Amino acid sequence: MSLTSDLERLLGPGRVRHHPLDVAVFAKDAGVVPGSVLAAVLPETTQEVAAIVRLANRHEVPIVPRGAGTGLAGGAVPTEPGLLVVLTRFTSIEDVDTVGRTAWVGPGVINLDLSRALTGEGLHFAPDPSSQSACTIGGNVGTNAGGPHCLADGTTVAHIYAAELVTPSGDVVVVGGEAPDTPGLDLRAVVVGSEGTLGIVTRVLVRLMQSPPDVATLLIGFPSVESAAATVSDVIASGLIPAALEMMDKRMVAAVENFVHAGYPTDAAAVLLAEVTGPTSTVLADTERIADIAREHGADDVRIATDDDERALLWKGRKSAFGAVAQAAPDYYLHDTVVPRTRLVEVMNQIYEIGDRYGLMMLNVFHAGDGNLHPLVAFDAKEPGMLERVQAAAKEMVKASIEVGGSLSGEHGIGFEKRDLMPLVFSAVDLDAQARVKEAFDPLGLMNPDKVLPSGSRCFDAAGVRL
Amino acid sequence: MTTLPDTLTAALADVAVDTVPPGIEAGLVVEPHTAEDLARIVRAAADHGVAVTPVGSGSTLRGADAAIAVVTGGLAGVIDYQPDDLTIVVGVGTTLGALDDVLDERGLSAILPETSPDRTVGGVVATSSSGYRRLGYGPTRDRILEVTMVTGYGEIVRAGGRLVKNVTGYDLSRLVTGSLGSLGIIASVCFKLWPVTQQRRTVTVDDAGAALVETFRPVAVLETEAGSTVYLQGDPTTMDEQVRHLRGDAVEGFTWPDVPASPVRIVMNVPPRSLTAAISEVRAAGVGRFVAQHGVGVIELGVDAFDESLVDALRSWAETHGGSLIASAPGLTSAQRWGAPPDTIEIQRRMKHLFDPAGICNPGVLPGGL
Repeated sequence: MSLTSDLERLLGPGRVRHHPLDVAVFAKDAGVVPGSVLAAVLPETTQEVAAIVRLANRHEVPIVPRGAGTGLAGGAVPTEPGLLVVLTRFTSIEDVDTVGRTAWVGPGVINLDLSRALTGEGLHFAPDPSSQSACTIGGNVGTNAGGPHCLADGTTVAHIYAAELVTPSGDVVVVGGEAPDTPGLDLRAVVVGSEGTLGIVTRVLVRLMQSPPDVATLLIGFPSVESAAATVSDVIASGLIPAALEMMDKRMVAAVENFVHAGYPTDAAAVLLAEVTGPTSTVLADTERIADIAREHGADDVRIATDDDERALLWKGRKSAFGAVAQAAPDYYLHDTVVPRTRLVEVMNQIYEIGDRYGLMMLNVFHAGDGNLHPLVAFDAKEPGMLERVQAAAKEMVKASIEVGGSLSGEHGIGFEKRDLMPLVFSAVDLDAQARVKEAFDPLGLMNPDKVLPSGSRCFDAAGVRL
Repeated sequence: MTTLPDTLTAALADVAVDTVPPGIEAGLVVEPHTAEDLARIVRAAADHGVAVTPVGSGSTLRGADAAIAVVTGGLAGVIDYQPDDLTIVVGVGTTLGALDDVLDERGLSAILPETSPDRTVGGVVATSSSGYRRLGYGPTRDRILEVTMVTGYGEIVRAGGRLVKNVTGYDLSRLVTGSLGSLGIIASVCFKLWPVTQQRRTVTVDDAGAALVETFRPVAVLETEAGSTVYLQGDPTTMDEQVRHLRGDAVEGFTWPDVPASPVRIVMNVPPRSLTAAISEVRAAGVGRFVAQHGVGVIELGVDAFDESLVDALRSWAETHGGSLIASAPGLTSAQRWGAPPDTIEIQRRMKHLFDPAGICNPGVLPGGL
């Protein structure tokens, strides 16, 4: 009996896709790494997921969990022929607790849909990646997703209290809990950000935030990137952590404005999109403070959105940045790197310099408050030698970030794409320790193999290597 | 107390100290000054199959009496302070008071427990202790960015990153937070910092539950046997309105409950929606002193002795409601400390074995006796 026939007996043929045309759609995510899918299954319950995992174990076939496939690092793409477990049918939102401010949510719930469903309760889910109208909560858990509003509220791990997990051997456990400080090791905090390599999350207890009574969104044009960055530093140094602080360079603004027509100042060297939230008196005070500091640094164009529609338009500009770039060239490569905030401008200038050397057009958008950069290269992959230049430049840009104390990923994850760069950040001993975390959950290595850690990471045996 | 092998005491002679911390029984007390010293200590212990336990201020949970006590005073001090990036790296022996002295100058804080300045950073991280500002800022673990530790197999490992936002591999810094010295011994920690220059007020109110629902993001809402208080910070005009709405009495600054020291510490953890009911249970059980955190679900009980039937009753209530009760006192069994073993005990057992193959790191300290 083959795996696919066993799966069809379990789920019915309609929920087991193995026809080449069907699986082609599942063989890629939003990144550039193509994969190899034996079959894709669409379970609807935790018990089905557990049964699927046990079947895969029996047939010794690797398993790859997948949400909406918006990942950029190949995390949801099987590198060797594997079974894709697609969680998009887990769309329930249950047990919304308005006192405790929590809800139990299926991993297939789309991020923006979750917040929209809770608007009536005055609650929302804080992590808001740009892909939030498509990405799923399960995907957010896998990558410890960020988004502009994580500056003040923290990344996904701070918003997950518990997760029901189907382990790589097909058992069902709950990591974390409904009460704080679950006794024992904090496995929950390791599962978040583990990119589908430690098990399959089938249910999540999310933390919900009180939605603010008032909000102000500012769009500020600056005569230089340095003055925009200095404004960000001074705002934070003054004791104010805004809800969001996003920056875009001139090229990115031009692309965005052409696409969205939100009135972005196209002659500014850099643009800051800031948001402050809270009671009205706080919003007024904070808005004034940011505007004052910006003007001190030479900003002559301070615009404050006057209503929800205008606010939404300004944010649309920011969140469609990557799509807007499609006007510039047929292909794009989106970087995700994070550096200490005070080194942002320095690294950005290095990125322009690297781009110039390789003859690539770089556009920049970044989460200015937390040092998370997204340099974007627009190019035409059909041009001979172009892809190689893009990849070589990418590696130099990563190294430049690491040299100033940065790391490999702020929010997209390592996936397959960056696993071989891990030795730039961690020693062999560090990687071996991380491999032990993986081994504790997945001794057989069947769950999303070849992701996060380079091959051969688990190299020291229990007795250790004495130097 | 087992006599330690001569080869072991000889190997660690250079880091041995004579002063035994109060309340600690150990065959040998050592004080490392670097992560390399610490690694040597752990390797020697692993090679000889002798248990090690880290000791900070001595107020932390300990496992079985350890043969080697590792005092962390020599691992104190600021290693890398980047106030503009809102990060600081400190050695685990640094006291909370000393840390605050460094951070106060720039109006920054790591938002660690407020009322115990003599506790060490290592103790706070190893027990994952959060202070009263948890409602507004989240637990301490949300602010731990990077950790350098010596694993139970004697290697120096760095995990996480000195960045406020990072997803680069498996974050061991989060795993080791709260691990009670069972996977190794931490040498240094990087904290995420917050500016704390806003004005503050402590407001006495009648109804903590209502205050929680109606106030926008208070820093804390506490209830003790003496009454309820709401902690606000921010813009004065906003706070004036909030105080008016709460119809409470406000004083400037934060005044935290005074919790007398006790050899017994009992904490109930319940889902936040069950907190009010839990407080009733605590009162009905005759506990006269407590500090409960609304919106969080933590209740610290003020008791002077370990009363098994009280603990059993309240633990049973907490566990039925999806929570736990954790007790610490000298001489407790694992079951008395923790109650029911966790759902994930098999994974935890494997994790423990992979990080501490010789079984020397605070053996028995984790739930399930791991």
